[in-house]
Amino acid sequence: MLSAPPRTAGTARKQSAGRLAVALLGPALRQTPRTPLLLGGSVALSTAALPAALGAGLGLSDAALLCRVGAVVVALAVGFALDDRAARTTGVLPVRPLLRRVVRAVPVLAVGAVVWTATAVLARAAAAPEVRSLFPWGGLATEAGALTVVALALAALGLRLTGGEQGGATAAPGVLLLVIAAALLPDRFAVFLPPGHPHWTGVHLLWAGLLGVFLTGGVLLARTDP
Amino acid sequence: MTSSTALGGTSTEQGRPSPGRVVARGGRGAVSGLARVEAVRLLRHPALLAASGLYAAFWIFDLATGDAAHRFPVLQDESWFVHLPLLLLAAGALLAANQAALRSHRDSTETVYETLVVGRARRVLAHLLSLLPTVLIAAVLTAARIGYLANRPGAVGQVRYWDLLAGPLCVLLAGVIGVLLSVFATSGVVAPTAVVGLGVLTFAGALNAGSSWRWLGLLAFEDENAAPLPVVLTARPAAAHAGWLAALAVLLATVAVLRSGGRGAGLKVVAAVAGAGVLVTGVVQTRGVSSAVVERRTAFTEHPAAYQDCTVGNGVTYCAFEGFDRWKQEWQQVAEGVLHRVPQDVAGAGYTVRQRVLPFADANGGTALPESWSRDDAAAGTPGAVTVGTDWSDGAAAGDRRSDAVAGFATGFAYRVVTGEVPDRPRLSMVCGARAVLVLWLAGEATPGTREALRSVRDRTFGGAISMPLLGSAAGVSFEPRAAELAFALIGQEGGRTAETVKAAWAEFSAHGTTVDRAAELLGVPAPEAVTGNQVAGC
Repeated sequence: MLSAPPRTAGTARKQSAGRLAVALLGPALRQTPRTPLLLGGSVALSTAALPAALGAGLGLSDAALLCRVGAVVVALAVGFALDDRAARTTGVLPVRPLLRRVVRAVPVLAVGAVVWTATAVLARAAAAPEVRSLFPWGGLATEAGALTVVALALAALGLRLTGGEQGGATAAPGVLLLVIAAALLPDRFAVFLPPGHPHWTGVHLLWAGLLGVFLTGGVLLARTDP
Repeated sequence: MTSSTALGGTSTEQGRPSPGRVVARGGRGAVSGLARVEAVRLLRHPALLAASGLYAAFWIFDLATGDAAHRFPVLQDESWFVHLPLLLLAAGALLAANQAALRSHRDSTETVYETLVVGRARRVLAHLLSLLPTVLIAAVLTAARIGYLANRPGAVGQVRYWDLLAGPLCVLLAGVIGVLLSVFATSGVVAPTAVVGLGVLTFAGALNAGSSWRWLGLLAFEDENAAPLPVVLTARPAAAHAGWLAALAVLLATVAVLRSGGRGAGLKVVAAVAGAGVLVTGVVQTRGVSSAVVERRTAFTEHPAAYQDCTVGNGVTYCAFEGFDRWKQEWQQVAEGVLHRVPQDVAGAGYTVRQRVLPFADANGGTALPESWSRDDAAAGTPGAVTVGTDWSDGAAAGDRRSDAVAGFATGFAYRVVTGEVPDRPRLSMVCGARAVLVLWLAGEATPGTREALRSVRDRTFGGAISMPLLGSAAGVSFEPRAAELAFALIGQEGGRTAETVKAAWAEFSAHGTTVDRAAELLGVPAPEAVTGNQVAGC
């Protein structure tokens, strides 16, 4: 007679974490800050929808700019995902801080991804028909992903500075100042390149590297309570 | 011993309030005291510190790398362009002021503050006043930056003081918006979203640099592809814009105070006056370019000789508009670099370099050159004057437009020396064969800067043909690809054998029919591979 293989400690921990995550999802959804998502989504979509509706026939650079505006406001909204006004209470629960924060971030990330994709579709529609096929989905998505991860990492840093309560107060100014500074960089160091630029691939490898670095930093900052 | 507190009460030596002696003074002294405290906190806010740090980082990087990009600034353009990095400080001020004004909400102390003698309206007023030191810092940074640029060795033109005011006023307006938003919404995301909105408005204004509505944004950009104009031809309603920014800041500030419970006829009068100021200055600044300026631009474009001062140096006459005299020595270096490599009789033929502007050129390069130029040159006694623009750069350091100006002048001067002509056709004049090799080689060898600028043009060219439109017009010169390939192979070669060969065989090199193959043969170098069946148009 066959018996089930004995469960290892690691497997048990994973299953327990999975069950906890599912159990936490409902409360996390109820606690999700909605104003940042609503405001950010409205700004991103309306900014891209207006030229699309007017049939502006934009160049690729301008279409990419609309998409980047969407990426910035989505990153700003995501930056508030980890805010937890009840951190003093939730901090003592027997749930790992990283799991708690991942559960809070995932729904916001999902909505953010939908908003950004819709913005990108509208931005592409606002571009002139002859250049639409050249719309650089991959590169712009990498930039959006990197900005979002930067926002989350800064939010995790903000949590450490505010007793686990207000990550957004650090993330939003941080992301904005970094984006403005990046936009002001001299041409030879530019990171927001026009599509088709000879350095497009190289710069997007840099964006991917940035994403990896901030992801690692964010996880390290978020895995423990302040 | 007791002392007065910022909020109008008194405190003991140990810092505890003495309850029996609190005086209900919620007036000017309390507001200014609170404003002082908030001003210091604002200056120490991480968002403002980070913004200032990033602003400084750009400048420090420039200084550390020699700042070749800003060696030849045109001060009337820099007077508004210096504000671009100041937008960082404006964003920092908006975010920091908003977070400061929302502090009581964030810390849940709003209800506690309601028990104080300083009401909400006065606290908002104090937050508004706390912006002034930040604005002062922005003014100091602006003054320092323009002072630094004005003292660069190649600085030309004139500082426009009204334009300079706009930067600090942008910081003030941004800070006021931050406080105003805190009065209407307590969510921390509103201020960052407002920064994004202002950023989009600013970018939209930059993309529509010819529109008059761009003056309703924080910073009014000019066309980044357009060359600078002499100061008398500029048409920026800078004083009206500064007035508009100031009036808008006052109007929004009064709205914030009124909204938070402020009362008093004086406040409403200030709001009304500021509102009227916004309307008047808003209309004035969006009226567009006046007809007097348009007429002056036309006159300067068609008859530049009448508005220039000329200097003779080593047999070459250099004519520049007022304010651009300093660049004559730069042009002279290029001219002498070309003439140094040609036979004596050709070098002494007598040349003129004349600065010109094309303010009505369209962005697509379809503008024709004014027919009056040759007549104007003849009337001034300088026929066949070589055109130079209002841009200059240390090689390719200051970006494509300025780099192209250097390459364009060098090739234009070399073309005049080699062919005895200036490009005056309505389209690009094709330069072929040995002449093309010679012109490009002379231009590339003239100075290290012209060499770098020409290489920059080549690196941005597809198909091998090098084109040099004159001041962004449809006219100019274009060089066949094989000639360009040979010329770039020769530029920068050690030994100087090419120079000797060129001088010795000048007549054959500069003759109309000499081919690229013959030029290579004369120089003893392999000719570039010919592309079969690919006849170059115009050659």
